[in-house]
Amino acid sequence: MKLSWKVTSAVVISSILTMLVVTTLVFFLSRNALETAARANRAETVSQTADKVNRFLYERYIDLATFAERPSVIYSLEAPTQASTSALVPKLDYANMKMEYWDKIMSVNTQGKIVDSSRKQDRGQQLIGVDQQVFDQAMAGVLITTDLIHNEDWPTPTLIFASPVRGSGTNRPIVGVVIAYFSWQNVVEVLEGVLSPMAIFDQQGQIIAANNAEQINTHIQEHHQQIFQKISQQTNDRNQANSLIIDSTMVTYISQLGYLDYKGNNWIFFSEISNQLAMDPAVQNAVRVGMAMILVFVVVAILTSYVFRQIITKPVEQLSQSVTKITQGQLSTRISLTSKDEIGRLADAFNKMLDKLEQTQQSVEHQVEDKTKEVMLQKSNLDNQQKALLNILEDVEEEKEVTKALATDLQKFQLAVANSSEHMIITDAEGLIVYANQAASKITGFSAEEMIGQKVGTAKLWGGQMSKAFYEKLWQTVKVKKQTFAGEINNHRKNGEKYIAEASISPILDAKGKVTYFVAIERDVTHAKEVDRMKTEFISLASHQLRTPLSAMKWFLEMLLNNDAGKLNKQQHEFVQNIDTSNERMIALVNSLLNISRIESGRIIIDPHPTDLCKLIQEVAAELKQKMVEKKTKFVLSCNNRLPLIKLDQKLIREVFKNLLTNAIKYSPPGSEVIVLVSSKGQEVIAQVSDTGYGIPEAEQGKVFERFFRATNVVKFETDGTGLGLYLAKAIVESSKGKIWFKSQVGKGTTFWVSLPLSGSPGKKGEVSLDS
Amino acid sequence: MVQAHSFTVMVLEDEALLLQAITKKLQLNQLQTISCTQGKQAIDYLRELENPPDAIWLDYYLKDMDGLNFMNELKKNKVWAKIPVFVVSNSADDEKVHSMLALGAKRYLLKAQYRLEDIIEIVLKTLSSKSFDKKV
Repeated sequence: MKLSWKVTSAVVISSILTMLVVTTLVFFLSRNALETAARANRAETVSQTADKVNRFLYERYIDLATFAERPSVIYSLEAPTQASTSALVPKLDYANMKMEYWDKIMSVNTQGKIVDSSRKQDRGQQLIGVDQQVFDQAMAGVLITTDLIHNEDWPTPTLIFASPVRGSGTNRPIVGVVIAYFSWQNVVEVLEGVLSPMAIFDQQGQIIAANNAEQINTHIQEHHQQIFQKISQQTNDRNQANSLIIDSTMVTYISQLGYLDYKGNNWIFFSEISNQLAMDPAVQNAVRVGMAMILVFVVVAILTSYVFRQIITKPVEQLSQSVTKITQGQLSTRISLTSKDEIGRLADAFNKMLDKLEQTQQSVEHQVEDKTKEVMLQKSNLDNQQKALLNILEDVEEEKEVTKALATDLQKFQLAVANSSEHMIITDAEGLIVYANQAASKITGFSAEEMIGQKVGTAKLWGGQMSKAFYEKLWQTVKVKKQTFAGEINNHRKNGEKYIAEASISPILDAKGKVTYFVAIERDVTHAKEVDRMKTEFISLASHQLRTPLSAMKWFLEMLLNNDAGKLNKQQHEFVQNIDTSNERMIALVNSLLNISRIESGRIIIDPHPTDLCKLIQEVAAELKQKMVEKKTKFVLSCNNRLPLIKLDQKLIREVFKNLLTNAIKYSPPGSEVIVLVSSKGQEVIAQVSDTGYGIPEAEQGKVFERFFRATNVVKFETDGTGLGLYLAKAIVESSKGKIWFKSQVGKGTTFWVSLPLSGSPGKKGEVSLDS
Repeated sequence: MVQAHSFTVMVLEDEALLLQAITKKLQLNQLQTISCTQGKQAIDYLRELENPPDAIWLDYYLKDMDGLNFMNELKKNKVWAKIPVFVVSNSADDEKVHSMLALGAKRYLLKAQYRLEDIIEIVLKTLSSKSFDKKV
């Protein structure tokens, strides 16, 4: 509900409530007063009525006393005998008696005989009954008032007044009595003149007069006991009117004992009224006042609320409207209040807040924009990522398939490695064994469990038998240089048995070239070594055993030919010469065989020294001078002057050129040319040996470098030759890191080329050299 | 042929035939010879001889010791160490050659490569130059 209504109704309600409260309070507070007032009012009424009745009766009393003093009355009673005539009887002057109040007035002589009466028939009658009693009392000289008389004899309630009449004599003797009969109705009429219900009770509690007899009667009958009790309790000041509340009825009474000189009859003047009626005027008054007050309050309330509205509600409503507008988003609204009070300040503060709010909103909007952009960006990133992930998932699926295939493939390799007869070990980058195949266990005697996790090459396992330097070199090669190490290693099996292994250790590099694993393959070459050793021994043996008889033959033949055992004849000389030739062949053959054996075993020592190749060839040629002379060979050697010295094993290279030159001379007809050209080309030096000899048949050119090969076209007439020369030459050239090749045409000639690197041959620490 | 005046050559060769050939040739060249087939035998001879031989013709492989051992034995004696030793053997790998030469052998010659004549010439050459030194 609107504030103004709230305010208005609040004010109104509070006003009314206040008023009601006030009124009620006032009412209750004043009720007593009202009650007291009502009581007083009623008491007053009762008092006044009692007074009135008393006064009324007193007046009659005086009236009678006065009447009794009237000369006519006195005369009438003084001359009684005289007259019996009625005409003489003076008529009573009832002028001052106000006959409307009296039922009857009588004058009675001392005998009790009615002299005169307002009721003519009573004249001459004799008093009886009550009258008599009254007369007697009056004759005693007292003014008498009787109580109310109301019985069969007296159907109408009457009060009898009696007064003695005193004569005119000096001591004023009582001459008679006047008796007046008061009409009670007059009293009733007095009561009837009173608005409020009134009743007179006699001491016995009988109503003797009432202005509303029925109403009073019933009620009083009910409560008269209480009342009389109360009355009898009250001993003091019986002239004061008192009120009792009996059953919400206010009863006011006054018990009249006497009033002034009049001797009352102890009647109780009684008035009652329901509280309600007693309050009536007061209540009416109060109600009137209340209503007036309500009216006033309502008016005040309306006025107040109007004022309120102006001062408070309106501004607040304004505020409220503005705020509503703001909540609806119109942040540009501002409140236009100019009052300087708190509401005005509130409005001010509000406006300031709105300014701030607007600013904040704008900045928030900016931030939201930015954030939204960020979020959108992130969202698009996430979308992309999601796409990428989906792609990856697809790829992963593919990969899975591939991996499955690989796994199957891998199994093959795993089986191959696991079951290989070669000892295979895989270690990590630090040399700790991660895998060992069955053969490894078989050869070394250690189980896979014993090997895995251990460092390879230690005496704990099968290694540690070589020098520290050896292992360091090994490590250097595979780990630092990241190259394969190939070599022989002395190892020992778990049971202590020593063996020799031919090892090939290779590093496995990852994509960045970092060492991840080492793979070592070892072959127990102990047996092979043994075989080799036996071969060496054999060769040794052969060189000694074969050569010894050959040497003996050689020397003895020499001596023979030298005529040291006597001069030989021509034929003897010829025969011995033949033997010598054969012997030389045999020696050459044995030498060649031994050389080849050595070459093949790889035990040849290569001992390079800086060599002038040209000079070497010259020297070789010089050695073969004899043969050249025999064959009338024309020898030409041409060298490039600027040839540098090349590191070559002179012995070996000498042998090569010895072979080539020997062949060139041997396989050419007499008088042929042998030309040797030596030059450098790039990183190599090339020596060319060409002849104009018989050439090599094309079909056989592929076999030229084979052992014991002799071309068919020369073997017929040149029986001397082992067929090992070129084989040996090739072996030497190749171990010197050079190349040998040829071109040949039957009948035309042959040219051999030998290329050797300018950097020279690598040295080799072998065990034997040629011809040793 | 260079004329040699009574040089003595001690020949150590375990092959009888070869020993025969060598000593024959030496004698033909006017050289005195002492033949030994065993190293120990040679050492004994050296001990007994008043004058040490002028040269020793040594085969590498002897029945009781090899050339190295013999050389070491020679070295033990100041006098013997001075005797020029010519190793004439059928096997001559570099190692052997080097070690023999290092121990003081004058020459290491391969039997199969050299004629007797040539070897003797080498020996005589050395001896004569030596004697020349001696004289001087």
